[in-house]
Amino acid sequence: MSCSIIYEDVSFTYPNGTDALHQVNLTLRHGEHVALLGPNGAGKSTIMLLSNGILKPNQGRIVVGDLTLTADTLKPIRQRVGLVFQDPDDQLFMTTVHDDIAFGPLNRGLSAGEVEQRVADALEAVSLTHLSAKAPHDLSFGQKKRIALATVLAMQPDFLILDEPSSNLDPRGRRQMMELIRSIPSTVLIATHDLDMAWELLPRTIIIDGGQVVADGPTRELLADEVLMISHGLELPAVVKYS
Amino acid sequence: MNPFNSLTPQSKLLGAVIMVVGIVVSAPHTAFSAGAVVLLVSALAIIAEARIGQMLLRSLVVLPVAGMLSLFYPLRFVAELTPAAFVTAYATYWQPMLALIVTPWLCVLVMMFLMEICTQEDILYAMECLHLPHILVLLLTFMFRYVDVMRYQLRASRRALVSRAPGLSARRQVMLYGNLAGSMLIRAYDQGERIHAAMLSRGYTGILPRLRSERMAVPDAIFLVCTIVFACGLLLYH
Repeated sequence: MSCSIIYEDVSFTYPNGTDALHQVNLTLRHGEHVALLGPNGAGKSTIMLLSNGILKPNQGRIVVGDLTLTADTLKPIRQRVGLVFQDPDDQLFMTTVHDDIAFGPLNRGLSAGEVEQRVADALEAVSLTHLSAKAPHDLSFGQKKRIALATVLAMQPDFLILDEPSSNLDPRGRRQMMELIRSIPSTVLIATHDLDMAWELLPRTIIIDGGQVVADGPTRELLADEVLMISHGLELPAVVKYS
Repeated sequence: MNPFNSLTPQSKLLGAVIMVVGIVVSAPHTAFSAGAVVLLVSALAIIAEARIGQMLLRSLVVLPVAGMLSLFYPLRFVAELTPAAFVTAYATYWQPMLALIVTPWLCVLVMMFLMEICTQEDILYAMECLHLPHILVLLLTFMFRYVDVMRYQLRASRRALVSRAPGLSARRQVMLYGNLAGSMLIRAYDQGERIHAAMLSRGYTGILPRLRSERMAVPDAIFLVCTIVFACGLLLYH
């Protein structure tokens, strides 16, 4: 199913008065793999939480596929937009890996057979089938990260949003995560500070700063622009800096 | 073959609860009735190939609390604050004091046996099947899941505290640990918010869905009848 996501003049202020987003306009087209970059507090997490309807925009509208985000469309939108949090301990809340992956599909009301199939497929996709019966707290951090991704892959979302998927991973774990992301056919938005990963994996980049989109274009063009990067609290990726 | 494998989690939980009720209602226990409970649980543990030593050891966890309650019990009967009155109260009420220790210990022993024959998931599943309040099952699910995360955070905070403040006075340490408990609470609240967001994003609507479906059968009925007979036996002996 085609799944573009459109943010039209979206503004959001947190209840404590923090102005997180100000008239953001964005379009993510079906099948795109996009990097969302910006310094801490730029509004990246807010954009991610808005996409899934966990936060509601104070102004503007968000359209996922053919659905505008409202209270009535929350359920189908959450089925279409999968969110993977930065800290896997926030994502994995059930007592076994299997139950955690099954959680999303079960909430969709799928049959037991279908749920089991999805759990098996998701575990296979992250190459961790053997950990199905394990408790999440028994896993290594890298394994938790991959299982957190599997919990969302099992929902077969059209649109996948990942928050810092490579953070705190060792080089091998990071490499495995990158291969995994590369293989995902859905539309993918990744909020990250891992500029080398963005350079290698994600053809398009959006830079956000102070709650506004400040740049949007081809990754290799934007990430090579030293003035742009420095002025928004970022830096050149190592691949550019040392080439 | 372990016959407990053919029982459903709900009958195991129900059986343990029946035994606990029997133990509580038939208190105070004599050496004979307490011994009978210990023998029965040990025999069941052998049949279930459970770790008896670990079970017994873990059951001792209740002793500090039960011991303290027991220690204070005779004080309510002390009429005047003289050494003789204290000695008389303790000499008169040593049996209820003992009961205050033995009864909870036997109950915990039964629960430790239950933990040996059931996984955490089994117990949660059984609680749902027995229609315990959903919020209770949800709370226990999160407690099982996050106790290790909390332990890790507590250890990390303790290390941070110790590394920056070696050789603190006991009074200052107590104050700092008080602060630590406060910050742990706030952290737990924050994490709770994030977990709730993660649950919502995966379609959570207030009910924890589960895949399992196990119905009670003849072995469950036999097991439950046996536990009822045992509990009634304790009562009749009492």
